[in-house]
Amino acid sequence: MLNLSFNAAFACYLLSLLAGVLAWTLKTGAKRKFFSLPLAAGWIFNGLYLALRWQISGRAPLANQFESIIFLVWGTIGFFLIFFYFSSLVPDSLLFPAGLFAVLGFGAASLLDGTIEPLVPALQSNWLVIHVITIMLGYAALSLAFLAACIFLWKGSQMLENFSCKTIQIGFWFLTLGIITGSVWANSAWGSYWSWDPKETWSLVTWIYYALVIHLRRTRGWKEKRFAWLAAAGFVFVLFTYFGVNYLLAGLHSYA
Amino acid sequence: MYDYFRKTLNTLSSIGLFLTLLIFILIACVLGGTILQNEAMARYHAVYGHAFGSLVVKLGLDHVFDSWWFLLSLGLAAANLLACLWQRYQVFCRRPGLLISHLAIILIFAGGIVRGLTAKHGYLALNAGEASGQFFTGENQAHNLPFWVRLKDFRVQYWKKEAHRFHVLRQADGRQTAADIEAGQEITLDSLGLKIKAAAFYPNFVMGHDGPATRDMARENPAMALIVYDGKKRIQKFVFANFPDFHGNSAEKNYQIRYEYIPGKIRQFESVLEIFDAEGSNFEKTISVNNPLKHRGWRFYQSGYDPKNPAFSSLQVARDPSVTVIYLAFILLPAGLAWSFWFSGEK
Repeated sequence: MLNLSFNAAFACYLLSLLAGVLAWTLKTGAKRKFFSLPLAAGWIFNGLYLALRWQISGRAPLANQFESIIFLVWGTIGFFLIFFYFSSLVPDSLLFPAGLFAVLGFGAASLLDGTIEPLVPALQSNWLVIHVITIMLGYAALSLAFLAACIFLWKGSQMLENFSCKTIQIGFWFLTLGIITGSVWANSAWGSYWSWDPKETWSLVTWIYYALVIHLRRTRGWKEKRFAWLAAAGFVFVLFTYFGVNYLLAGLHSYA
Repeated sequence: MYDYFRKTLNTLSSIGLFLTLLIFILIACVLGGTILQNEAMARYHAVYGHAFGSLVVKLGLDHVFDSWWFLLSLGLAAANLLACLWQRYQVFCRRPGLLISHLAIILIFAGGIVRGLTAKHGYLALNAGEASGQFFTGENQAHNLPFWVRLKDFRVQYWKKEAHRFHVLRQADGRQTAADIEAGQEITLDSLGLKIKAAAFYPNFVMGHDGPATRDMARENPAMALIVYDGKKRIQKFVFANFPDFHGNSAEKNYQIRYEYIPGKIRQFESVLEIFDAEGSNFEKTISVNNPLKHRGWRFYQSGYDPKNPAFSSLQVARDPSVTVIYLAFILLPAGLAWSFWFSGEK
């Protein structure tokens, strides 16, 4: 059942690529929701996979890179679907990039070790759930901001610029919460809420960068193309904080 | 004088200065988060090469976060924020979310100052049965505690204990089997007609003056003394997990035995601590990772162990009055941001 839900999610996300292309080229109008069904089905199977993994392991499936990528995809597509169904901010042109993000995420996860392992002592805390969920939801929203900014730079739709701005606000807020919960956890586990560990420092780098982006938009009026470039470039910091630090720099987050 | 003050305040509260400082701090964090920090010169030479390693140290990039220029930039950023709040208080009052979130950042700076002036961090290394009224900082300076701490016991809990697996191959027909045997245990391999007894386990085997011994309890060179009963023959031999062909398996032509050491999966480290306090109560508490002991503002964290010495436990000691200020900021910051982003009606 576990493998089935993983494969079903992967298959649906693959199908959503086709649906995304069709939605984009056919100018679906009122039927746009129909073309989002594969993505929504993939998201449901993705959630089912996480729930089953949680049930089998007896702990939250957020303890290693494989599990966090699966959660990141679930969070990103979840945010996307909320905006797609309940707001008028998301154009059809974003269906394909969202599907592509999910496929690439699942593809990357497939390359990693997905074995269910018991938690190492450092991760045996309720803060694991709160910290990883908030950080990952932050990355999820910022990933959407990146996708929207890229499409905006290509197609130039005002709707996409607004969507990028909204998702940066959401991502920044969750990132703030993620850094805070990480600090509180560090204080309860190691006796220091801040140690300038590379992962902490790079999270702060990402946070400062998006703070800068928000301030430039508000105080200097950097909107549209300038803002989109900044939103797109910020994803480099997200990627490096999430992946780069784990592989290139040693620190307290070696298990992440 | 007043004009000078106003001019300084205007400069200090400028958005341009704020953005410049933010970019400067961002670059400093990128450097400090990428370049190794607070290591010895030899390490920089080993990692970055001699020329670049020396340059890193010469430029002070080996300790970015406690360098004067970084601390100065943080101080300026705090002053800039305060000046901004002072100069634009009417704007901030109209936007409570903005005010709260920026106050939270100022509180974080304030917490950092309190931490720098009052916090104490160090470590305490104890063997089971030992007590101490002192802890040591990173510079190996001893500091007195207002009470005594005794390590009553230290233990490692496992998800799965270590295992000793023996793979036995009968030469004649290529038949093989594997079995896990504990030290002191004896098993019969009916399919191969062998009986094997694991006589003694040597975690870190060494040949001493008095014969085989173990250097310590670290599993660095795991070896097992075996007694093999092959029909009427009784053979004694040592098998080594790291050196499977050490004896060339020449003693027995009929079979080969390979020893595989499978390390245990650690679940938790636990230190049983006793507090002896002349001014307070004496008590006992078991601490583990993520579960510290708190007493009179001091906290003791499980931080390390020594695989060579099962009775040793290393504790982190912390006393940090800034935590209250920082946690207040941690509540205000997301609240202020949420208010500013979604409940203020601003675009």
